[in-house]
Amino acid sequence: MAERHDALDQAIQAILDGAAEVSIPRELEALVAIAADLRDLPDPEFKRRLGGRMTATTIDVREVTPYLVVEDVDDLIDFAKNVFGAKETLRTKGGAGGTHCEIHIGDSKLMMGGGMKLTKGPNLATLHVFVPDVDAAYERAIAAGATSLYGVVDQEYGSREGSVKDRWGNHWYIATERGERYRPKNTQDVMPYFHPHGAPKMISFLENALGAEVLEKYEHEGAVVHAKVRVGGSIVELGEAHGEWQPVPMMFVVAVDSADEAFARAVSAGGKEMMPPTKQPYGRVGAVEDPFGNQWHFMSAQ
Amino acid sequence: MDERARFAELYEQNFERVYAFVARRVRDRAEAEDVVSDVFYKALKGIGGYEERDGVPFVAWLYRIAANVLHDRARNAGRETPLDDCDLAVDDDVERRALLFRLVDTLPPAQRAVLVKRFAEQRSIADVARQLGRSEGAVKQLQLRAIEALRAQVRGSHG
Repeated sequence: MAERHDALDQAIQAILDGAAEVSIPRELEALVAIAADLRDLPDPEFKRRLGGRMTATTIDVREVTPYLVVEDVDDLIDFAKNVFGAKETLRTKGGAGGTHCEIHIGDSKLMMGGGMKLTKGPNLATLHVFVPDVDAAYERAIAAGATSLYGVVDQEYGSREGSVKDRWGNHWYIATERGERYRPKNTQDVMPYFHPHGAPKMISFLENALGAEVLEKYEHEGAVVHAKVRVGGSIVELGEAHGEWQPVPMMFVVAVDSADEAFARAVSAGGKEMMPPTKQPYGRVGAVEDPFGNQWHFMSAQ
Repeated sequence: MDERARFAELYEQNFERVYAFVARRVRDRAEAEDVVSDVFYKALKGIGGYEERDGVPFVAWLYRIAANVLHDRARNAGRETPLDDCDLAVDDDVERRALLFRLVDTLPPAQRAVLVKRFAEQRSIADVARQLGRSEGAVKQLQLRAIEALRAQVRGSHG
């Protein structure tokens, strides 16, 4: 007869393997019940990391939202609705007649503005979108007037992906993770994707200005091929510019506790002052441009 | 105490409960960690709003956020059978498992290390033995002692 510790371990291994039925000697039943509960024991390292991010007191970024601006913004909003099932959660008209709109694609927020003659160029974005069915979303994008950057293919890193450019010039990397879940760990449904010249420098800016944390980083021959970075409650991605994947400067609204503090920190991290913090009808806002041409508009309630 | 410090305390008090609530309602550990992160980030964003309400325990508010996150994810994933309210009921089972998870921290270091590697990291006995520099038999013994100790403490906590 097996020793108690051997018999218990056999039962534990069966539990960990997800066996439907586990045969248990009667005298070990109570212990196996405890082991079955321990199957979901949280990883202490995960608890520590999450707690650290939750309670960091020096960096107060809460959320980073891409802001796309085009003249015919109503059409762009319709594109997002038709292709990605976006839900409109806010639409307002400004004094000068411009539109401000907030939409959600899955769990992610995007802001869109325009609806009037723009005095300077549009603000475009490169966005990585996880959807349950990439083939269907890609087809809808093409049907809605987008052009293909590359057709839907299975990528070696686990995603099935296609990519399009909409008629305004925004790039949409559309993907479905192969396997049980449609998107992998450390992602949200929509993530801005940067292609900077000098990815490590961009990561440093995000860390110093926005308190970002690198979640995943893959390098090849010294270049950052792909990285996922958490900024407050949001995730952004980046990979070194190469070939046809070149920088598209983006604009962001960054929800913070204090626009003044965030502005000062971003400037000291190498950001260029665009607009010192001022009181606006919707809160206090200050903006900087990072060394890669991206605009960061820090917004707080006061 | 400022808002962040207070949140740190609430996080420490409630992490295991939220994890226990979420873990049995998702497919795997990676998804559980994603959902738990979402829940606490949403809680952090909304903590000001919570303070204005009277009489709702913080943990009940967290469970409500967790239920919403799970609903949204099921819907967004196009799952055919989204979770219903019944699935989201909080029962004694959640409290019991949360208590158990906290008790693991009180075990002697070697016992705790074995349980964390075996269950949280899902490592084989051979792997754990190699990492801890002990024989497989010794690791199984530590595993048995740890679970016996937990069993005794759980019984103790229920009178």
